[in-house]
Amino acid sequence: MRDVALNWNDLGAAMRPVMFFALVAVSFPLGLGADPQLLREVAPGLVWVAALLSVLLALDGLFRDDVLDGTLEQWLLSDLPLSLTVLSRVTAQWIAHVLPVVLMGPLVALGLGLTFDTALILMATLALGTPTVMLLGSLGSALLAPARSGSGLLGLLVLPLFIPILVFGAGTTMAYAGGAEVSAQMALLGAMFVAALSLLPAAIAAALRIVTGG
Amino acid sequence: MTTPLNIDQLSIERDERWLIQNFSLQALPGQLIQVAGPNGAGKSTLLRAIAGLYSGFEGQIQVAGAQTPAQRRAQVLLWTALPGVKSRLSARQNLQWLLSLRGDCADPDPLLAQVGLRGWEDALAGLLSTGQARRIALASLLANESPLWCLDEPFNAIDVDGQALLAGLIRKRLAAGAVVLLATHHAPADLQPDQVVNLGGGL
Amino acid sequence: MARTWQWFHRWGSPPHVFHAGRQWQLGFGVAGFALLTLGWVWGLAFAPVDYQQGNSYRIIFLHVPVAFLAQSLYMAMAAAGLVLLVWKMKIADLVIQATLPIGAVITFLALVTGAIWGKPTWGTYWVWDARLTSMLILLFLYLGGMALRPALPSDVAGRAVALLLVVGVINIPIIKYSVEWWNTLHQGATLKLTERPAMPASMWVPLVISILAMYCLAGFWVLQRLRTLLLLRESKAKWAREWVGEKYGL
Repeated sequence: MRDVALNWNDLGAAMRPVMFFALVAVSFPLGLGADPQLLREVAPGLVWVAALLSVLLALDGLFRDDVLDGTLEQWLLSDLPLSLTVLSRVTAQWIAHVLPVVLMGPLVALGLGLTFDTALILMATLALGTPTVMLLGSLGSALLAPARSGSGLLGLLVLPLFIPILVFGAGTTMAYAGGAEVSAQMALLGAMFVAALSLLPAAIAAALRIVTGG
Repeated sequence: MTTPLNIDQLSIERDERWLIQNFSLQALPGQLIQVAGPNGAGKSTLLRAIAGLYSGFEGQIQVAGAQTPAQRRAQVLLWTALPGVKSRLSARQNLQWLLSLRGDCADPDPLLAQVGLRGWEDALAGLLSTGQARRIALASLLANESPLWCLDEPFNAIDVDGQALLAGLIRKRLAAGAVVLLATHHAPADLQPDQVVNLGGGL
Repeated sequence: MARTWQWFHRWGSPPHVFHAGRQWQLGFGVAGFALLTLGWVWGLAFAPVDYQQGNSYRIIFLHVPVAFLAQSLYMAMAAAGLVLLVWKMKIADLVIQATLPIGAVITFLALVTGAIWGKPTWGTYWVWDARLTSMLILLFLYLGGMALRPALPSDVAGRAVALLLVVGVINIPIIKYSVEWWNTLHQGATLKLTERPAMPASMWVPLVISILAMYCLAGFWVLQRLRTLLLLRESKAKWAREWVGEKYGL
C-alpha cells in the first residue's frame, strides 16, 4: 500500500519510463528510414528492446532511496518476511513504471504497421515477460543498493539475464506474424514468470541482507 | 531470568582492521549503557551487530536469550541517523508504516500530537524541517516495548524540547526494566549512564 | 561424515591451502605442459587433414578446449559461490576472485578463436551462430561479475558476487536454450557448421588430450592467483611472514 502511495505521490518519476519508451520507439523509424516493409519486420524486436531499456530505467535506484533514508533497515528489523516486502515493492514499481509501457507497446506496434492481432499478441508477451524481467532486474538493483553510481553497472549485470525473455517475447510475436501457432511459446513465457516469481523474491531479499552486511 | 544483553568475546574486523576485539559486556535490566568513541570507531557497526543486521563478527551476542540474528531482530529497536521517513509521504502515512512494521495498528494521530506535530499530520515529511521529520520517527518509539533499545546518535538534529521528550522516553523504558544502548559522543547531563563503553583508540 | 568435515576444515585453513596448493600447482603445471605438448604435436602435425575444411580445422585443438573451459570455470565459480553463501568459507571468495579474470580471458580467447575459425569456414569472422552468441553472453556474465566487486563495500562484495554467479549459472541453460530457438527462428541451417561425421580417433584422441591439458593449465593458473591472493590477504599472519622471510631472506 505504502509503495503504491509512494509512486502516486511521485507521478513525474513514474511516467519517465513510458516517455522514454515512446521516444526510443520514435527514434527507430527516424534512424532506419520510413520503409513500411522494413519497419513491420523489425517492429516486435524494436518494441521489446525499447521496453527492456525502459524497465532498466524503472529499476534504476529501486532500493537506493530505501538504503539512504533508513527504510531498508526498518524492513530488515520488521516482523514481516523480507521477501514479501520486496515483492510488494517490485510489484508497485512494475504497476507504476512498466504497466504504462505494456499498454503503450501495441500502440507503437500499430504505428509501425503491425496488424491489430499481432499487436495484441505483442502486448500479451509484454504483459507476461516484463514482470519476469522486472524481478530479474530487481536482483541487480538490490545488489547495487549501497553502490554510489549503479546505473551503468546495472545494465551490465542484468541485461545478459534478460536475453531469454527478449528472445521469446520478440520471437513469439514474429512467429505469430509469420502465421505460426504460438501457444507453446506463450506457455513458456508464463512458466518463466512463475519460476521467477517463486525463486527471485527470496534471492532479492538475500541480496539486500548481504549488501547491508547481514 | 536471562540477562537482557550479553556480549561475549566479540570481535569485528573491517577492511583488514580490527574495529572491536575481544569485547565482552553484560547489561542488567534497567541499565543505560553509553557507547562512546570517535567517528568510525565502530559504534554503529556494534549496534547493527547487536540488532542482528550485521553478521561479519566473531563471538556471541545474546539479547534476552535470543541468539540467532533473526531472533535478535525481533527483540531490538534500532534507531539510526536514518529513521526510514519517506519525504514523499505525509507525517501520518509515515508513522502508520513505521508502526505497522511491528504489527502495531495504533492510531497515529494522538502519537503525533504527543511529539508536538498536531496540525502537521497531512504535511509531506519532505516539507517538514529535519527536526520535525525525526519527531515522526520519535513518535514510533512511544508505543515500543522492546526489551533492548539501540539508539544511534538519537539527539542529533532535535531541538531542546525534543531532546527532553526523548530523554523522558528513555527513562520510562529503563524504569520498565529495558536496557538502552546509547551511541553518542556526549550524553545529556540528566541521563547518567550505568556503564560506558569506549571504542577506538586501539581497543 | 566426520572425515568429510575434517577435510572441509583443512581446506578452509589458509596456510594449508597455500602450502598444499603449491604441490597441486606443480602437479597441474607439469601435467598440463606435458599433455599440451603431446596433444598439440599430435593434433597439429600428425592428425589427418579434414576432407572438407582442410588444415584450417586444426584450430579446434585450441578452440574446443578453451570453449569447454570457459563454461566449466563459470560453473566452478558458482559452486564456490554456493559454498561461500551456505558455509561461509572465506576461501571460496578467494577462489572466485582468482578465477573470474581467468575465466573472462579464456572466454574471450574462445570467441577470438571461434571467429578466426569462422573466417575460412563461413567466409566471415562473425555470424550470429547460436554457440558463438551464447559464448558472447557468457563473456558479459563474466564481466558483470568482475564489475560488481569494486562497486560494493569490501566486507560484503564477496557474497554479493557469489549470489550473482549462482543466479547466473541457473540462467545459463535457459540462455543457451533460448539462443538456440532464436537461431532456428531467424536463419536456416545453411550457416551452421556441417554436422561433422564421426571424427576418426586420430583426430579426437589428440583433442581430448588437449582438453585435459587445458584444464590442468587452468588449475595451475587459478592456484597461482589463489595463493597470491591468500598471501596478500594474510600478509599479517605469522605463517605468511615466515614464508616470505624464508623465501626472500627478509
